[in-house]
Amino acid sequence: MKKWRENPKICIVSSCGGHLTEVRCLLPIFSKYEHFYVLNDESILPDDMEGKTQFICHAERNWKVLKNFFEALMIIRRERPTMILSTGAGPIVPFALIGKWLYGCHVVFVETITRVEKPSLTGRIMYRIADDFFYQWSSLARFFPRGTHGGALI
Amino acid sequence: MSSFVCVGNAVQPFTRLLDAVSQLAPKLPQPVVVQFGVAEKWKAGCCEGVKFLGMQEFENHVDGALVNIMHAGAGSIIHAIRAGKVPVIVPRRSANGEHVDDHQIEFCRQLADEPRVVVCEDTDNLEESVRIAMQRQNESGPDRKEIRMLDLVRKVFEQHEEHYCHDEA
Repeated sequence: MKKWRENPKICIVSSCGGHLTEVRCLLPIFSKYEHFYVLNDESILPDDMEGKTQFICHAERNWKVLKNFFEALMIIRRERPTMILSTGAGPIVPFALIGKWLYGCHVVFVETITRVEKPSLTGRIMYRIADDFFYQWSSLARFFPRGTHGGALI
Repeated sequence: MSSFVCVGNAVQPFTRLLDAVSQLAPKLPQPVVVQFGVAEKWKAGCCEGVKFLGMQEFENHVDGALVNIMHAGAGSIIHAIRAGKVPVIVPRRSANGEHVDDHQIEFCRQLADEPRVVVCEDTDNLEESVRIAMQRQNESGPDRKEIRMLDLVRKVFEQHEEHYCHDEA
């Protein structure tokens, strides 16, 4: 695999709100690496996210998803992350596809804690794409036989 | 110390919870700050209403409140627990038009035995739920639960760093 950079660089893709809080449960892990965020809504952010957050347009399963693909291409091409991390929601899909297929990024996805009995649509899609797929509740095991049950993030 | 109520940024209103809070508000620690979301017709009464909050403002309110009452959104609950609070969590019901489906109810039922939250499905029980939550919060120490997921994800990152840094071009 061609190396774009000497050290890992992590791209955290998230929708605002609960998913962002959830992925930031992993902050103790990714904060030791160079990292940046991609969010789909402008918001007043915690201090540690200032200056390292980029915003894409908010798509809700409509034509704006195509714009997200273009935005993913522009951002990944410019930033050259080595890993893409997310707990959802939908904005991760274009980034995972572009990042993995065009730029060899390692994709890590954690299914959201709110999905207990059935997976999310994003989870079902990302299960096919992610290099490492984690889910939190054991009741989802039958949907993700090749995934890893990690237990709850709280 | 204050009380903080939040319903998140869902596109459906959560009027059932807001009305229950309005009734209970005089008995709660003051001031009662309510993030009411899209329920624009809800009357704040003696509460301080705010439509939406940025992440930092939301965290500040949770941290500073003696009582937290929340819709059963993951972000809200996660932050409250990590802040050492015992929130009352009220799931939205799709049958009432409060959400697209009932995953909040499923989530709450999964947390039924979790001492770090108090689940309140029926808002008639809100006052009692608040009483239980305050009692548990007084008794609990800092959140020290081991999170296995962190270890698993950390291992992935470490392998990535080792693999990436030592990979041949």
